[in-house]
Amino acid sequence: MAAGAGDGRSGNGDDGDERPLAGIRVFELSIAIAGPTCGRYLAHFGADVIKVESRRNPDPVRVIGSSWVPLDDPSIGEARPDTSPMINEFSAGKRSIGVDLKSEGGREAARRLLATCDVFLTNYSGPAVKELGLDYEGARAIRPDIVYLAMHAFGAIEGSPYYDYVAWGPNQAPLTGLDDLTGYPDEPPAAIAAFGYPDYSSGIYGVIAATAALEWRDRTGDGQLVDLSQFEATVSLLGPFLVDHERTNATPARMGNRLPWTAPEGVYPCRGDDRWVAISADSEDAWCALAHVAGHPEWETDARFAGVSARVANHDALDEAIASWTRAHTHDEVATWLQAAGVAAGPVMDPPAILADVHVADRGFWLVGEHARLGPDLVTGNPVCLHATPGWIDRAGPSLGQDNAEVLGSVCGYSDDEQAALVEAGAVFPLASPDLQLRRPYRAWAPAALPHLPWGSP
Amino acid sequence: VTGPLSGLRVVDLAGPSAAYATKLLADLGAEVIMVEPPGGSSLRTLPPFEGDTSLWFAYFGANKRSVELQLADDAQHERFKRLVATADVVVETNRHGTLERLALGYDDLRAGHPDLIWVSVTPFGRTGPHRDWHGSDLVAWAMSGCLHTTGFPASPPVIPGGPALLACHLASLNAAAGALLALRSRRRTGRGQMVEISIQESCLAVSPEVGAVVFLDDLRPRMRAGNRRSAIRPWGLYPARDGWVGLVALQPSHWSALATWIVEVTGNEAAGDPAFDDVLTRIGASEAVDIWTEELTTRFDKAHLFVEGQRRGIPVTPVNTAADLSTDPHLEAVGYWETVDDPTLGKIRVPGAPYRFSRSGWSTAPAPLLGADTETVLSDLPPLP
Repeated sequence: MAAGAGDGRSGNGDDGDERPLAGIRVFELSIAIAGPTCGRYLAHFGADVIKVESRRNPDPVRVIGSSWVPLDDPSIGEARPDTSPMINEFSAGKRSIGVDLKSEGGREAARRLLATCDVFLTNYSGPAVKELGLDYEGARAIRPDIVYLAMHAFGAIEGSPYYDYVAWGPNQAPLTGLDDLTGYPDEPPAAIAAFGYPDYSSGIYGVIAATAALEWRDRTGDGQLVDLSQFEATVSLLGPFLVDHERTNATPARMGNRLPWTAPEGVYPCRGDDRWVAISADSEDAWCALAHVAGHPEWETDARFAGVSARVANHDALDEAIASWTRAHTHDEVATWLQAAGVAAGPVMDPPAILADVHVADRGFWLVGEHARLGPDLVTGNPVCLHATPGWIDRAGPSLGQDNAEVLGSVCGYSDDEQAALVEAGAVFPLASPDLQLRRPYRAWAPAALPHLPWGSP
Repeated sequence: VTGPLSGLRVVDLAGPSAAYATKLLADLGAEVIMVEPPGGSSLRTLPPFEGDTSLWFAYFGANKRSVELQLADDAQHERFKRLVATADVVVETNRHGTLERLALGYDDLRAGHPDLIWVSVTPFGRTGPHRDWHGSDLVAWAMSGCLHTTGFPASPPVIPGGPALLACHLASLNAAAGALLALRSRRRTGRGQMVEISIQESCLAVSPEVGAVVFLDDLRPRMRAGNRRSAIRPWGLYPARDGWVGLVALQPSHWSALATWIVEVTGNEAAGDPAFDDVLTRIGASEAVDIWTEELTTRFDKAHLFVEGQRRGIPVTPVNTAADLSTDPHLEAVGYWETVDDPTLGKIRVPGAPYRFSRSGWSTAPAPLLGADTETVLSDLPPLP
């Protein structure tokens, strides 16, 4: 089912852009995930986000390209990074220009672009933007009311202890205590290793900070520096534990999937290989319902499980009892039965299960955007649904330099000859192999196998 | 200095999946009025406690006002409607249909108040086959692909961040962002709207690295790989003498700096072989690269590895606990911590601003006692038209 009007998801660019950030232009000097995630939200909600990129020092999420693109095919060459599905994920809806900010011509182009921008967004380090002349002082000399969003790993206060330090999102998770809290008590920290949680949370903090600063600009006319230290922003998520330590010297320990205030809470083995169901029976009603669904009404009167404190204290025995039931069934069966009885439960889903899931697709979560080399391309959606002025994208991740002509011409005011001279001088990186068209292998089978996903016109 | 949201009134009916959103709005200057049922919000029951005070509540409730109201009671029902009539934003986390049954849903309250912004946070959203499903932080992670890939291969999948409620925090961040975006739309159109957040989708949106779309492209199964990431080496946790450090050698310069350090300390010349400058070579030799790296990291304390590694330009950070953070020199030096005077706990030190504005203000305040503002807020609300 296609998403319908008023569901917070549908929208198109045909008849006047009603999105909240339409008319806002963003200079994005960002790599990897945190800064680009912020820019992706802003683009989804209507901002003209221009990703300023270098081919000499490219965004690491581009570098590897797609796994199916041969590494040594000379016909693909420098276009390989454009095929990375990650550039869709973190930059869908943006425009890209290739500019060498270390060249004089590139710096002039950046200055001309910045003069037309409302927001400057960077997750480069403080010293790096300063070296480019694009720190806050440099930027506001060009655009006095700029909203300058500095998403450095350790903030914008020069001389502070970690100011010069380098950290990716997966470095913030250990630093802020999130990794130590992840895992089972009798094992080393399992860490949030497979994805960079702090990158995404910092990116959304960036959206909040940028829109709040735009609100301030609307009220007062003033731009400002917004210093969003990813370290500090991530630490803010741990408020209660830090207050607890401050007051009682308690240090929270990892406890698997358990919570101190409810039981049962955990994942339980199901039929099949590495199949699990997550169960959170977070009230007496839910616990009794679980006992009945499991065919063990006697659990209700079992002294070990009488009341939440007893269940928390006897969680091992509780887990064993529940697992003896779940093992005989599939995770989908157990989750569906429990949900029907009012108990929070869900299968632990892997990517094939998520792609097959009808609920998420039915809500119009997945997006499709036009990719310059690949045609319509599937992209992970945005979780913020505005019903009257929904966000949308019309394009997937841009190829490096895809929008050089439009941005350098219409926005920065360079003539065609001047643009050619910038390319000649190495100040602008042109789109690689402009005529190269490729096709993701899955386009051959996935639209038929997964018809509930949006595929666009082939 | 006034905050960018000063003058904005928010009515807060949020549980754990949006209470942080309204704290963020409050600290940006909005007046946030928590409407608590008789006896208090369920947030007041979340451990850890000091005495009878929930520390979750002390943090989530910060800078808010408290009004105690029984929405099912006719007279109080009317007062609630009057309160909402004065509000710009309502934030709520009720199950689909709960407020509607009391005739207090969005459709009931926006009549005569077309500029009202209504933020709804639910486990699975307000549409679709699972819209009535019950949820939790764990269930949201389970149904996002992120739980499947977190943990050691021989153990069951394990929730990111343990008891820190990180799925709820994502939903809260999205709710706050959505409220601000809707506010901007309202400035342009004069109309409010429904802002809908699904906690499951909040987790799906952070799943790209382990997620469904990229899987479709590479068809590589996503498995739990413990505390290191299989895609690159070195990447993940490495043992120090007194704990662990996180090490992410993503750029070529990071590996070359690390290799130099390994050679200096361990005398292992093999690590300095330029062949390993190529990330694909390192991935192919993951086991050896891990052993060489461990031969370095196990010789030092995590604090030394942090400072010396960073001096060498390597993205290395210690695996910290709350105790480490409470004495972190950077947080101290930048004035991160704030002190508020909690009505039951007295002066407590709390995390400060997640962002620092150079012109507009940010400030926080303690969480209120139950019903502390019932009379002041409700006494002279204008009657409904």
